[in-house]
Amino acid sequence: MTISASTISTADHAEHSILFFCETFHAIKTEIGKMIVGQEAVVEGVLTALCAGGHVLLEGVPGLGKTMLVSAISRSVDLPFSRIQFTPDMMPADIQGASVLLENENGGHELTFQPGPIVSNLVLADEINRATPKTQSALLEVMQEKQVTVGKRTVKLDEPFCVMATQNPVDQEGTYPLPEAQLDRFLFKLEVGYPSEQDYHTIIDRTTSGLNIELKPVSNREELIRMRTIVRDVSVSEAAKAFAIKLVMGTQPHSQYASPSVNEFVSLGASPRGIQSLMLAAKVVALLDNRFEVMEQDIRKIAIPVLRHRMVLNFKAQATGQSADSLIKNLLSGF
Amino acid sequence: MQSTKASQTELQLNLLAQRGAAFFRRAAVSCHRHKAMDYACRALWVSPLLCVLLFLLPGFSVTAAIALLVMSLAIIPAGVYAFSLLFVGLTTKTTRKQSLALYDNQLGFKDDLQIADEFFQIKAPTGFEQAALASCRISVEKASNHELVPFPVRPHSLTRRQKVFGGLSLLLSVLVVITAMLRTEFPSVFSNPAEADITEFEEIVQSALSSTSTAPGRNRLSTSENHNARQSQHGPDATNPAQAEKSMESGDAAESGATTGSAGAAAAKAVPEKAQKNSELRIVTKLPPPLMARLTSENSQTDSGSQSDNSQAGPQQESQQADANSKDENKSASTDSNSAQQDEQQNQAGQPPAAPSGQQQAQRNNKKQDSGKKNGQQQQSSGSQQNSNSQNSNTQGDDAQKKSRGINQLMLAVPMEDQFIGTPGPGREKSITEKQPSEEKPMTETISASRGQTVQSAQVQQKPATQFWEKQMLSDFFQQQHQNSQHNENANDN
Repeated sequence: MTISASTISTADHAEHSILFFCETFHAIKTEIGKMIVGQEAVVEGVLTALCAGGHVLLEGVPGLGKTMLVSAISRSVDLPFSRIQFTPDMMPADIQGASVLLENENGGHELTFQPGPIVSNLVLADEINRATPKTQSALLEVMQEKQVTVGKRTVKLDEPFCVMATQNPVDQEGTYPLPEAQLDRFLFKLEVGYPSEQDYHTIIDRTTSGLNIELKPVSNREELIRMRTIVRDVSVSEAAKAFAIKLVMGTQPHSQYASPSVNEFVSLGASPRGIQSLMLAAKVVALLDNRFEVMEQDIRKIAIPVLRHRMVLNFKAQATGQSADSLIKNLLSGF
Repeated sequence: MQSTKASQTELQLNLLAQRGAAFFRRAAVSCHRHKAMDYACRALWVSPLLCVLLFLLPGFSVTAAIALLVMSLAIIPAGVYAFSLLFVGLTTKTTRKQSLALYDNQLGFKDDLQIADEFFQIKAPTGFEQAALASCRISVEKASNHELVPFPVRPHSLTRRQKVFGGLSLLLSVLVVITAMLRTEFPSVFSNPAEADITEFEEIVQSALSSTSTAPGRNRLSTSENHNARQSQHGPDATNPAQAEKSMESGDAAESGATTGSAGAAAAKAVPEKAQKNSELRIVTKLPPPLMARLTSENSQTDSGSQSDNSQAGPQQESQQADANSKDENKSASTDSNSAQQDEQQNQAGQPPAAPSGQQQAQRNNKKQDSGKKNGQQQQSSGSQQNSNSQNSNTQGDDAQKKSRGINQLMLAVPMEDQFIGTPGPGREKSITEKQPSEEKPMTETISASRGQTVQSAQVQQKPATQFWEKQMLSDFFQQQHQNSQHNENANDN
């Protein structure tokens, strides 16, 4: 494996890169804001994950615009978008694709691979927790390897590839909780809440009138790839690295940095994948702050959405009403 | 150009790191001042200890002591203070990162200086690292022109404990030196008073020996007799030192006219303390035997009030009678004390004392006075029980003499079982217990068939009236049963 050198070799180039990144990011965010009312933190989180090369898990009650958000992103960046509605009877082939017997031009029949809805740039996996574990595991390879293997055929997915999964916390009857291995593959877990009172007025005006909102693409695939490259080139100070390591180790019970509450309420902490996600997301935050290096404050800002779904709480935490967010806040205040 | 700038920035960073390290050292030293002052105050105690040691040395010199005092009070605490601060300053170590972090915190740079210092170490920095260094250059220049704000340290002032420490040690040192100076100036004042008294007494004895001749049969008290007599009269004498001194003077006058033997002189020399000498003089000033016998026959029991009166009246009477007392009383008193002790021992053992002869009776009367005074002091110290006893005693006025021999005489050493029989009378209760033998009582055997058949019906038994709490209890019980059964049904359904 060869390690490619950074494409940004000079300070001027770095300054141009950071300018480009910030401008493109804000343009996409503004365009999405025309359709999605409020939810600025969720929009910024999804775009951060998109630029960092990760996947997002959106959790919220029905009717909050989760599907509309993914649709708006795809239109803004001019990328193909596919939607998979998970049901309990769904099979892995329904997601990955299958070989189908088709009639060729000569009148004969041959097996042709028909890719599934997962083969796209932006994938909306709606109500992912309704699918069976077998179907959910089919998604694991796609999310990690960014390729689909069906039989002897392997199909590489086109960059940029991002899965935005949703799950409904209310309707828990007949659902299958996502396994820790699959949860660990999501960069962020964002909680979508109810809009504010002012946002309700805007929603009514936009959606119940004859107003037709069309989103224009403000970016494209190449720019998104370049943005991802710029994110990878951002430098990280030793102090920031040390802080991130302490934070991730602090989520692991009985480690040297674990707090007493973590030892009491957590059965499984964040993995090394967690620190990778922390660093990537912190780089995006540093770029958005017009800085060339990652600092401790960047890590503090994105610690909760990165780590909340990677900590498995024990029964005592559930019985006493402890949440992963409160434990992470407690940990951050101790550092 | 850029390399020049980079080297300049690097030099500035080095300078900032040095300044930061010096700042931390100064801060550590200033924070340590309170502790250093505490150590210095504790070191002040070295001075009085040195002075005491010097005081005990044979070749003691006041000048040397004063010089040592001044030096130890000035130099030792100052040295301890300075050394403590120096030690802290030398052992305070800070890293380069900590020094730069100080500037970052004070100027609000968000770790710019630390990052710049870190990226300067990279041999081939990337574009972003170069850009980061370039952006930090401005921060470095700002920090170079910035004077670090010292940490707030509470004003240095002596604590109460330090003031007390220092003051006490200074006072003690001065006292030791003054004592030494006075000892040098006035040696007689600091001589041993007991030795002075012994010296004086020896002179008196010597003069008595040289002026008079020893009469046959009149022996001075032996050392053991002195001790016994001393014991019997030690208490009351201690309460009245003024009276004791008067008796001393009268005793001296009596002794000067008396003949003494060599044994007595030796015994007198053996008395080391002033109290012993007082008791010895008291023996000289006893009442005549007829008067003593009258007083002892009139007193039957002790009185705490009369004891104090007696204790005060005793020395007064003795001082008044000092001139009339003779050496025969000395002898009789000594024999009386011996026989008194023997009687006491016999009484404690539960044996009745032997029937006294005429002379022994007179002696016993005398020794009753002695033991009475001794027991008087014992009873004063033993508390209210003796007060109650004294209330029942026949007080014969201020002249009554104590006759009881103490509470120990009332207690028998032989253990006896308590006996409870009969009914208590109107007076003081006296109960005697006895073991009663168990008696067998014959049982009449009863056969159920011999009772005959019951003709009449058993009749309806009246239910006893239930109280409210019983009804409530039953109601709660059956309700609980009903709820439990319903809960079980629901659980089964689920």
